[in-house]
Amino acid sequence: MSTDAFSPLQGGAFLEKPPTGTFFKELFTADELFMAESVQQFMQKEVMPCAAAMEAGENGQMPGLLLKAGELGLTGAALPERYGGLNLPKTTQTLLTQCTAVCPAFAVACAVHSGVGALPLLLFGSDEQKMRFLPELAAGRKIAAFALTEADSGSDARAAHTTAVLLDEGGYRLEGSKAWITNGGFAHLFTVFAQLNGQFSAFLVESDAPGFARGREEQKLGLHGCSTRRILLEGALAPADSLLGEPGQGHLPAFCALNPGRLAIGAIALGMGRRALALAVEYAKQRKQFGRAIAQFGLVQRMLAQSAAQLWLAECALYRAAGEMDAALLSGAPMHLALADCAIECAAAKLICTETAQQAIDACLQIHGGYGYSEEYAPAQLYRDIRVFRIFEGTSEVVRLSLAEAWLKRLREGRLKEPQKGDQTADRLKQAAFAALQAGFEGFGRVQEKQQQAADLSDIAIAVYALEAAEMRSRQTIRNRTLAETAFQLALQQQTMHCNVLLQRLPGGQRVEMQNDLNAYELNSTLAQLVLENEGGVF
Amino acid sequence: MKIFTPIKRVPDPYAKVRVTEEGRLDSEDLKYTINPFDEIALEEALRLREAGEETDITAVAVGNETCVDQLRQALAMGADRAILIETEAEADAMMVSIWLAELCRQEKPDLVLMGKQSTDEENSQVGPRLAGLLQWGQATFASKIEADEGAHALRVTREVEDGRETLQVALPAVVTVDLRLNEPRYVALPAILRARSKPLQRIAASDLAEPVPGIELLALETPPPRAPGRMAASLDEFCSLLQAALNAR
Ligand SMILES: Cc1cc2nc3c(=O)[nH]c(=O)nc-3n(C[C@H](O)[C@H](O)[C@H](O)COP(=O)(O)OP(=O)(O)OC[C@H]3O[C@@H](n4cnc5c(N)ncnc54)[C@H](O)[C@@H]3O)c2cc1C
Repeated sequence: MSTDAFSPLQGGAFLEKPPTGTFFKELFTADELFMAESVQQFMQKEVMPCAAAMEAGENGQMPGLLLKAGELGLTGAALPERYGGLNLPKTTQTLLTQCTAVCPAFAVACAVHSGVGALPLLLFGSDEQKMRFLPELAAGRKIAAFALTEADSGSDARAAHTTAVLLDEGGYRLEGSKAWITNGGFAHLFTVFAQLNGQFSAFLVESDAPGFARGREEQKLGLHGCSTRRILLEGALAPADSLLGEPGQGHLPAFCALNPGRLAIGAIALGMGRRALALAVEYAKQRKQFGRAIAQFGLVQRMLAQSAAQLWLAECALYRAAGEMDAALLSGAPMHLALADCAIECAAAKLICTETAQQAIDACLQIHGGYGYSEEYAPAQLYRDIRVFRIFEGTSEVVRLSLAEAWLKRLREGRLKEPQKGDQTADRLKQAAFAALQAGFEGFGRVQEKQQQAADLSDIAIAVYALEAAEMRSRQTIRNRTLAETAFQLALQQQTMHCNVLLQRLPGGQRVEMQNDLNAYELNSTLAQLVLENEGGVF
Repeated sequence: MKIFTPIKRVPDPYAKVRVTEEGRLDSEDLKYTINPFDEIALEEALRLREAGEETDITAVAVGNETCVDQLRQALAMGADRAILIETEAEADAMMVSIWLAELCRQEKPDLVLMGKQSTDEENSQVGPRLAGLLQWGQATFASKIEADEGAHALRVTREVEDGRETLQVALPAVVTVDLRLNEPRYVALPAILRARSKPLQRIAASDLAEPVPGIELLALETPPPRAPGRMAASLDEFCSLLQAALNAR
């Protein structure tokens, strides 16, 4: 897919040019914040009362909650007004999605429905297909699911075995089964990917189609409240107008919808990580050992500070990516090209948010000691629920490789060039990474045989992306300025150290200089104090 | 029925407030909301409308441009229009009452429905003063409000020291509301978007009246932290500690 015709599209430009601006949370207007408050209240009043029952496995309540989310306007947030949606910017959507993270099972069900569930149709549906389904999806009256994965093809999704045959009497017959389908227990509309004459294609399959069946609920490690099932297509009949987009073009809806999907997954993970930090702070203040609150111990403080700094950094990357996706969507390029163009940014946001959240939740559990290991306290469920965020919508490994692959491809095609010189740490990291790319990947060739190097280079790219966003935000925020600056300095040190380890082992890599020589121990305790004062911190 | 719901912009009651060196509220890191009691009053106005009464609801704020955020919030909740009485003054309760009274004289609402107090200063002054200035009936601390059929009046239940008291107030009237009256709804997102285009009128406070401040805010201070409590081992020890504390006064 070529984006050359749309020069305003700048995906990956941060790897070449210094940043000119970023979106960050303090830029939200009063009514956007008010929307977030509404979603928080909705979660408290409607969803949380059902959360325990859903966690116990009764997901009969989820369709009703999604209908209520439809009345709230949440399920239609991404859809255009003519389908009953709100057409909110990605930044606002990201904020609202983050607010749903208090109940991860609901958050995932809702994000899959309105993200990868509805977006393929929005991007590639015909007018009739869109008019028929999108208003129902926007209102939450019908629930959507995304059926890409199969038992034998996960990361290698295009190797799907499910087949579709064009029937003489019109329509298609689908044969095969799909695995791990979120909302599988109750969804009405499935975007199913299947081979049509050996060509990877997408179909809209309704749950009342003859030959369609649902499997049993998967017994999962976490997200118990969220329905995950196999979908069985045993000669399932789909009407003639069920083909989505062109035959053989199934990869387009699959991969274009994944980019905003990854932002949403990042937003939920970040929300969970932030909640873990707040829980950790609360517990650390009140738990006493050796006659003191454990919050006074340096090692507990270090865990709090590092969680806070990394979450802050991840948040900066997430909202930067959302803002850049909005810019791409406003560039005038067709929507699917705009979304596809943000692959590197969305990969970075997904990776940093999900991995940081995992660490913050781990630290939260650790701070709770034995009680963290008990299902009677909140960290245990968070710990189970967060784990899948590094697996679905692209495993961490696959997302890292796809980031590096996209970077190399853009260099190969001349759409990105050597990074411009600059004296910020992020600029130096870009140059060092570029040198290693040149040394390790001759002619900017493919990543497959050098996965370890490629993943290390992705990590540096992610650090660069996040640090630039954090630097711009920490310079501009007014609220909690000290917290922002301290978190930035700590994150900067940690990321530089991490990148230096990678640069040292990368062929052609060279370490970069530390930008600040602040004492890391003191930074940890200063940030921990600030975080403790701010109750885990509205930063 | 034409209802006015005055809306005060207050610091989020759950936020930690700080005082600056100049003895003023440190507003830099502070989040502001609609005074929760006023939000309940507005919710009640919406419920009167939903009960079938034809109502026109106007949210009114006194203050500077920052209050527009709270007025838009009120519009999103369902107010039909909003009026900002613009002033940069640190207005006291009397000044606010005078401006509101003047606006009421001009606009002639049937009912002013407002919080019994604001969570920032907790004065409980504006409602009664406004009723006094307008010479209207008033019912304060309402925990239940019903339209009295036929009569142009309301039946208002209020919680008082020795139980519940039910009043009938003839309209026009001022009613101030208590926490238990209702639980405000969460606002659907489309309503927040629509509120952007609902009418919001600005009136210079000085065009209504030029009241003289009666109260001057000299300084705010953070109260000294409270000394930690002590656990008494027995009832006897508790009694003697209590006695000692009383004697020390
Ligand atoms: C709770 C849950 C909900 C889900 N919801 C949906 C849904 O709604 N719709 C849907 O279509 N799918 C869904 N999935 C499926 C999910 O997207 C896949 O599990 C995921 O893409 C990984 O595929 P896999 O499980 O087959 O693992 P595999 O692809 O077999 O991967 C196994 C391991 O090998 C690694 N690996 C694979 N390929 C490479 C490579 N090229 N280089 C390096 N390492 C590699 C992976 O990173 C991983 O560590 C869901 C999964 C779960 C657990």
